[in-house]
Parts: sequence; C-alpha cells; structure tokens
Amino acid sequence: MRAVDGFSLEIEESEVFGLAGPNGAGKSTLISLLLGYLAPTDGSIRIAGLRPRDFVERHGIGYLSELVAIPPRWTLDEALKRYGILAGVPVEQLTARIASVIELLGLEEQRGKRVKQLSKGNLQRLGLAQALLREERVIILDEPTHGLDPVWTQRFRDIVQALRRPGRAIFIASHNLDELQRLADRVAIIDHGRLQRVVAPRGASRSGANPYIITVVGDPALVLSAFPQAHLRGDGEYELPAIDLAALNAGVAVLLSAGALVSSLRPSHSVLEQHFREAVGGTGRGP
Amino acid sequence: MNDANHPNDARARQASALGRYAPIALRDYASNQGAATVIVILLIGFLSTMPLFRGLGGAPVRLRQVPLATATSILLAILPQLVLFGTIFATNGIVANDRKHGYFRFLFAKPISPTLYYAMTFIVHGIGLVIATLALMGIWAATVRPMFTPALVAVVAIMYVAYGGIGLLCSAAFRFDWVSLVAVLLVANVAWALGGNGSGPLHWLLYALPPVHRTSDLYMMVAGEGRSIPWQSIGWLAGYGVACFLLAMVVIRRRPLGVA
Repeated sequence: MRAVDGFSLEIEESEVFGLAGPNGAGKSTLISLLLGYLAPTDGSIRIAGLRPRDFVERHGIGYLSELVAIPPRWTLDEALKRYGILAGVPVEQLTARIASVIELLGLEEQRGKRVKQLSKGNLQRLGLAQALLREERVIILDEPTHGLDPVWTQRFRDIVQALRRPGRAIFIASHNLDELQRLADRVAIIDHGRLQRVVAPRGASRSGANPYIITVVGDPALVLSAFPQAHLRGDGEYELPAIDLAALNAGVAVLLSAGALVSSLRPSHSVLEQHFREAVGGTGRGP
Repeated sequence: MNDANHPNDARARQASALGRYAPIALRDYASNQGAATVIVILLIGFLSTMPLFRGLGGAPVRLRQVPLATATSILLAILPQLVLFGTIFATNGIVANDRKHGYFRFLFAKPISPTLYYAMTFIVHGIGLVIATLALMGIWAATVRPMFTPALVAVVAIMYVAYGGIGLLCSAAFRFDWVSLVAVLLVANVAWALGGNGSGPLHWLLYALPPVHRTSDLYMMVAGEGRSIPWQSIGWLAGYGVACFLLAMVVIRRRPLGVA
C-alpha cells in the first residue's frame, strides 16, 4: 500500500504553502519525503534542483516535527547549543542566536530546565526555536501549534508572518484549517495519499463564493424572498448556500429596505473548510 | 545565509560542525557509557582480586603488592570482559536509539550527513573507551600493583574496532542492537570452537563470522614476555571490524530513517 501516490506539486520560493488532510492522509509521509527521511519508491522530489537529502545536507531545513523528540536529559539551553552547532551557526554568533530565539519564543524562564520537565506547550516552542536557529531557505512545520495555548497560537502566527521573506519557502502541515486559511498562500488538500486539490484560501475568500449564516429579526417570508435558497435553522437564523458577495449584498439590501433587522452575518465555514469538505467528504476522520 | 553551494563547501562545513560537536559527544559518552563501563569493570575487578586481599587462597596480599604474575593473570581474565562490556556499552543504541525515539528528526534536518555524524560518534566513543581504560589502569595501579601496560590500551582499541564495527552495523540495521551483537559473538565463538579445526566447504563459512578465534593472540600481548606482535590476528580482527563499519555506513546511507 502506498502512503502517498499520484502526487505532483510545485512549491514556489517566497511562498507559505499549507498542507491539509484527515488523519492518515499522508501528510507526515510527505514531510518525511521532503526531508529525505524516506525515499520515494517511484517519481522524484527536488528542492532547488537537488534531491531532498542532498539539499538538507548542503543547506539544512528549519524543521519542526509534529512530535517533538529531544533527549529528555538535555536542558533547553543545551539542546539549542547542540542543534546550533550541528546547524553550523558560527561560534561567535551561537550565544546571541540562542538568546534571540529564546526571547522570540518566550522561553527565558525555561532555559535551565531539562526537556523532560517542560510542558507540552514549552516543548513545542523549543521545537520551533531549534528550527529557527539558522536563516534557512526552507522551513517545514508539522502541526506547529499542537499543544500551544491560544495566546501562543496567535503569537506563532505572528512569528510565521515575520518569517516570510523573498527566497524562503515555508511549508506548514496542520489540522487547523483556520490557521492555514490565515497563513498560507496556497493549501494542498490530500486524502488517502493523493492530492485532491490546491486552494488559494485568501484569494478565494475575496471572490465571496461562500456559504453564510445570517440572523434576521423579521418575517421569514421576507428572508426567503431575499434569499430563495435559504434554510431556516431556528431563532431567525438562516443558512445561505454558497453565494457570491454581490448576491449577498443585494439580498441584505432587500431585507433592510423592507424593514428587517440583520443581527448577524458570518461565513458558515471558511473557504478552506468548504474545499476540505468537498475534497475529503464525510470520511469522519476530521482535518 | 550559511549556504554551501558547492559540495566541497558543504563537506568542509559539516566537518567543522562535527569537530565542534565531538567534545559534547565525548562528554555524553563519559557520563553514560563510560561511567557504566568503569563501574562494571570495577565490580568485576573487585570480585576478581578480593580473594587475594582476604587471603582466601593462602596468605593475604597487601594493597599494591600483588605479585606480577598474579596481577597479569587477573588482568588477562578481566580484559575480555572490559572489551566486551566496553564495546557493547559504547555501541548500544548508537544509531538505533535515534531511530527508535525519533531524535534523528531534528538532528538530520540540520546540514549534517547521518553517515558522518555516526562515524564521528563511533570514533569518539572509541576514544572514550580508551580513556576509560586508562582510568581503570590508574585504579589498578593504585590498588593491585603499580604497573602500566601499554599493550592493554592497544588491545582495547583494536578490539573496539573489531567488535565495535559489528556493534555499529547491528545498531544501523536492527532495533535490538546489543542483543544482536551478543548473539553474533556467541554464534561466532561457538562455531569457531566447534568447527575451527575442520575442513571442507562448511569450514570456509566460518570466515564470514567474526574471527573471534584470534582474540586470544591479542589478549596475550598483555602478558608481554617478549611475545611478538600478532600482526596477522590484528589484521583479521581490525579488518573485519573496518569492513563492518563500512557496511554500517552503507546501511545508514541506504536505510530510510523514517517509517511511512
């Protein structure tokens, strides 16, 4: 059985590229292939024209794995020193570089702690810190906000935004579609090891072809006249099937001009979520 | 950016990084495998010399005054155990642990070749075992008899190459590496003992096994007494170890680090 099959994809320099898929879809296998930890049985992978292992051994990749595996007896400081040395950070820059990522990830109070004493969130931040020790051309983040609290999840998004720069490709695999929607320029949706589709989530969002939830205080007949395909969900809340922005605004204008009050209007789910549902269907495995 | 656009630049940078990492790897060895080796051999040495000091076989012997012949005889009994335990500890999990625990994921996302990394670790552990041997010799000199046997250090180093090469190969190829190493050595010892004097095609199969029948030639170097250096046995043992080491490098290079 092939974990990844019939997969053809090109990721641009300077791009933040997302990868979404249900559990067991092949995300981790794909990342292992990108790092050269697995070799494809068929086909080929090239990073900047080199085989993955050759690229990694020549340039390195900033990589955060889903499960952060670091020897438990190492202290946080020691772990970063070791990874920094192996990453080839020059001696004279190592201390400053470690201090910089520790500050960036808010790990100052954890410096002397052993890895086994770190909470899940702090361990995840240490995993990200070691990935950022060097200015890498390629960064791969596998479930990067796994175990982070909401504050650090938001902080992580800011960090990724700050990592964007010309010539650097950032690859993020995540269960969190909202995260990919916010961060990624394009998102590949995979299932059963096959590429289902590639979505540009923010570009698609601007086109407005989304389903919405609208809550209206007023006559239901009025709502149905403005939005003939609306479904009543209860308490004045209606689900609008995929509708573009122009049609949405026209319908709202009809409601308002007829004296109805719109108390809320929101997308029923993100563009990416919509694509994900269509691509993966009711697998029950969830993103 | 620290990019190496030419493979030679990359190799030079890897060598530099591994050179900087080697002292850390040596410290790791000292606090783990080295300490374990010293403790186990101290226990074996204690149990081997205690009857002398207690006078169980005659008049008690005083500290540092064990006769040379007796001291050498005990040393010859301890040496194979130092070699065996020292090598098992030094190579146990050297590759397999990184695979099993997933430590390879961050390690080899760095611009480092796994083959060079494990070759460096193997060499550093060998140096560590020699240092542990020197420490044990110091303790021996302070307690049993003031003597320094350079041949013992040489024998440990050669046997580390011989057994350690096999250990590294087992660790690269199997998950239960130390068990594999012990099993290989057990099979080799039994096979050479039973069939070493035979002839015919089956006899030649023995040469695929580690040449353990030649270890006694090396161990006898410690006895001194004007014995000539057994170059042929050294060649067989070291050659077999080097061949296993090179095969281990191929396995590390070829065998996927991850699991689909």
